[in-house]
Amino acid sequence: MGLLFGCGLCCMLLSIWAILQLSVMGIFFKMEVLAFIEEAEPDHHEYEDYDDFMKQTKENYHKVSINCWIAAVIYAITLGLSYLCIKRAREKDVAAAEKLTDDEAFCRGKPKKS
Amino acid sequence: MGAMFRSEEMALCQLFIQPEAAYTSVSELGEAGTVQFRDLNPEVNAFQRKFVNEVRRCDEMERKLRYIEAEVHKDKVPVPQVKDMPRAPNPREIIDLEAHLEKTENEILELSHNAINLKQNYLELTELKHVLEKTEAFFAAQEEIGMDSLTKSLISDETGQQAATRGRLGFVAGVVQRERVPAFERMLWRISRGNVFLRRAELDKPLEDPNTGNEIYKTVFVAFFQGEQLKSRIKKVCSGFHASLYPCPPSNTERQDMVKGVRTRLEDLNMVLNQTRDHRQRVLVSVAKELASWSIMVRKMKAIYHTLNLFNMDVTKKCLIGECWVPTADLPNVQKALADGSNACGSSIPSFLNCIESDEVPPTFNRTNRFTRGFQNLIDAYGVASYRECNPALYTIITFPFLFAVMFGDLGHGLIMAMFGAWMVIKEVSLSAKKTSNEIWNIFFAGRYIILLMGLFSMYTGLVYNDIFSKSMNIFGSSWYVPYNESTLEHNKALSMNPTESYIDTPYFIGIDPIWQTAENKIIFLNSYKMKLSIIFGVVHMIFGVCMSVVNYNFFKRRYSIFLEFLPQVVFLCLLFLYMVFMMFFKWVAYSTLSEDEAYTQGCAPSVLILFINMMLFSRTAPEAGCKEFMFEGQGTIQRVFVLVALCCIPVMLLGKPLYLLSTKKKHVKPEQSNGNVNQGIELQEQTDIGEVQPKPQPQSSGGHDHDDEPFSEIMIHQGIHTIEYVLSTISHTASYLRLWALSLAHAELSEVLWNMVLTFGLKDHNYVGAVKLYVAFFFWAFFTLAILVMMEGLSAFLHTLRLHWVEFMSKFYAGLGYIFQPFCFKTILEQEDEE
Repeated sequence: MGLLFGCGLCCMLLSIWAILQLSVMGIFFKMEVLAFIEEAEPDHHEYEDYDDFMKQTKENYHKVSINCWIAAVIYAITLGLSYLCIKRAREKDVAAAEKLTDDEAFCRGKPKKS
Repeated sequence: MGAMFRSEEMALCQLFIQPEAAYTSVSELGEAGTVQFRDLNPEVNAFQRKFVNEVRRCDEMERKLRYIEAEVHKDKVPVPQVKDMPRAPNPREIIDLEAHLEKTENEILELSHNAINLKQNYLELTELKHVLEKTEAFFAAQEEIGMDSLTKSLISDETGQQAATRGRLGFVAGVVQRERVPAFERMLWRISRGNVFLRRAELDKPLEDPNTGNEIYKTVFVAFFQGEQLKSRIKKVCSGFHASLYPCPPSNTERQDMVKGVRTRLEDLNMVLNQTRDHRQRVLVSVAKELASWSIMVRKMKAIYHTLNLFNMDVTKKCLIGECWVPTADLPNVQKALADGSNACGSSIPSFLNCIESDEVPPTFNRTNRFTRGFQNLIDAYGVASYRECNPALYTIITFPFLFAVMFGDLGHGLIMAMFGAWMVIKEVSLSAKKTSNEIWNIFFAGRYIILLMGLFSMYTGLVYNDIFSKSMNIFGSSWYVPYNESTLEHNKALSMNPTESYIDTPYFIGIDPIWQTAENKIIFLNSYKMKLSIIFGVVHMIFGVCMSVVNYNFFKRRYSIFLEFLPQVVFLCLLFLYMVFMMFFKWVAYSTLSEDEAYTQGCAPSVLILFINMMLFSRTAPEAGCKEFMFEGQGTIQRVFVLVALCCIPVMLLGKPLYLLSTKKKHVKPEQSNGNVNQGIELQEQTDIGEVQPKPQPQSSGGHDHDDEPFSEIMIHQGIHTIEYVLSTISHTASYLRLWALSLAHAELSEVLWNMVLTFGLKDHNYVGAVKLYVAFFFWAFFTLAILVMMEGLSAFLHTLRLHWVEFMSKFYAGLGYIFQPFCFKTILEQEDEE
């Protein structure tokens, strides 16, 4: 199997991993999980008091979860493209194998030499 | 089953085979693959052995097969794989195969020669055609230049033309390689002193050289001269430059006829060439179908004859005698194979098997299935176990993945590894059918069960370390809470959470509490935890290793070693290092922030390491105010007693065994037991006394020295080395287990850095651009996770785990001085040859 198949397969596996992980991460950001606090908290000096901090943090959690899901959708598109690549690579392989077994094709190539 | 606990019992057997049945019997034994033959003719030259002619026949057949294979590959005919392995051919089939191979080889040779001849003809005709076509122009031009009007009108008049050319200029026409044209011209100029006129035209299309198949560019030339002497000189020059000369009729009509004739001949030749090519194709395709099968049959035949060469021919009994090592459990199989061989040949006298006693150390054979084979290979790579020694591979099945997982612990990375291993295991039938020469893939595939187990165990330790791609999970609810109010939180950058106020008193259900991920002192806490964990695992692993030696001593009937070697070793190890482990557990249990006694609060917990060092050096450190020096009452006395007893163990280790052997050698001077008594069936010679000073016929004590022959000084030196090695190794190997902590720390930190540096690039941007950034960042994060954290860290942890097993665990009991059982098996022979 050639380069096209290899690239297609790698992209497909990566896309599946990405879709799973990003959608789960999006759900966790929506649930405001504490593990992701460092990604969601606002930078220093950008909030005034406790309530503002809480409001901004909640907003950031929500925004990042939307971003995660959008990225998951983009990876779904990549998954589709990689699937097409694999299909094309397989068709090319089948055609090459048929040419090999087809007797006519074998002779067709030869007379060019003389 | 007990198959992996220690290596199998082997028996040395003599096979008495009738000469007629020899070939088929050995063929059956090769298919079964259970015996290892010994060479009974070691001094005999390879060319003087009995079956050397048959081996020559096989070599000749192989040569023919190789030639045919080369021709098949040259024409790119596909060779189908053989579906099931054919058996070695019987004598009638051999003759048929030889005849068939010879016929095919001759046919192909003939076809090749004919093809070359035809191509040569074709080349000549083509060149002639080109010469005729190109020289058309020369003659037309030549007759215009330098000729008087007499010839102009004679262009159409043939006879006049001939008269003119006959009287004036002769010519030779031919074809020469393009690269040689300048030199050719110069040479012609020199030999003729400028009296030769050369016209040339290059051929656009290259011509094929019939021998090599290369394409060569050539040039047509016509050399005009006057006189016969020049002609002979020109001809000599042409032959020197390998230029082919062609007779070119001077008159136009003759040339046209010739061209037509050449053209028809070319077409005919083309047809013949095509037919030859088709015929060759047909022959090759029909041969290619059976090529793989024939190749296997010939290789099996050769292997059988090589094996038969190891046999001894007994003239009196008129049978072939062979010696082989057989696992005792496989003896019925061998007898069945011999019976099958005799039946297949129709021999009336059956072959039989006879077990003999021997002084030699048998090979080590561990029966493995596809799951245990990987682990057995890991142990065998260090050293093959001595005969009937305890096999550490059995325990490696669990301890290896577990120690790997302690160093690798991450749920996410473990999941990736487990899925990779699971894919290889699920698809193992189809993947093993593909034969690649890619070494790296073959190594990974051979270790697929190891990888699967490592992944699963890593998922478990990832759960315990509460680490998935460097983030912690809060599955069961954290046991810590924030006790501060909003204003305190607003006005302080960092706050500490005291367990007395922030802890709900029941710990997190399994693993590290998720609160630690957000703590600044996470690493300090985890360091203490992981270091203690490493020492605990290390000491337990090493005690297990020392205890394994008891099984070996018991089996090899060296019970004195249990008291004089094992007991002081294990007492030394336990009193010092198991005591340290006990101190760790005690410290975890006894000290707490919630304790009422001030001496047992967290500030007063003494360092286990300092206590241990003081114990060894018999010194003391003054405790802080309000704290006690020791963890419990009487610890000082207990420690002193332990150290003194441990120190007493050292002279026992050093002198116990040598003095015992010295005393028993004086008492028991027994004659050597006779070897080589032939008896049917197998019996392990029972040892009647414990003090074995004389050598045992079977089995030899593993790693033990031949006590009878060694002088006392040798024994003392050996024992001294062992003692020093052991005592020093207790401390150095214990410290070596700290690599479990070091690698797990490195893995966790790398994982965190990768997340913080790469993935947060996409997560920190809270606008919609962040989604695209996340798309790109995830790609790089995933790539580096696979490359660095799974591949590199995985290989690193694998290597360290292997070292811990080989050095720290196996040096406590393993001798590893055996040699591996290599049975005569067609499957392994064919696989080895395929690899080459």
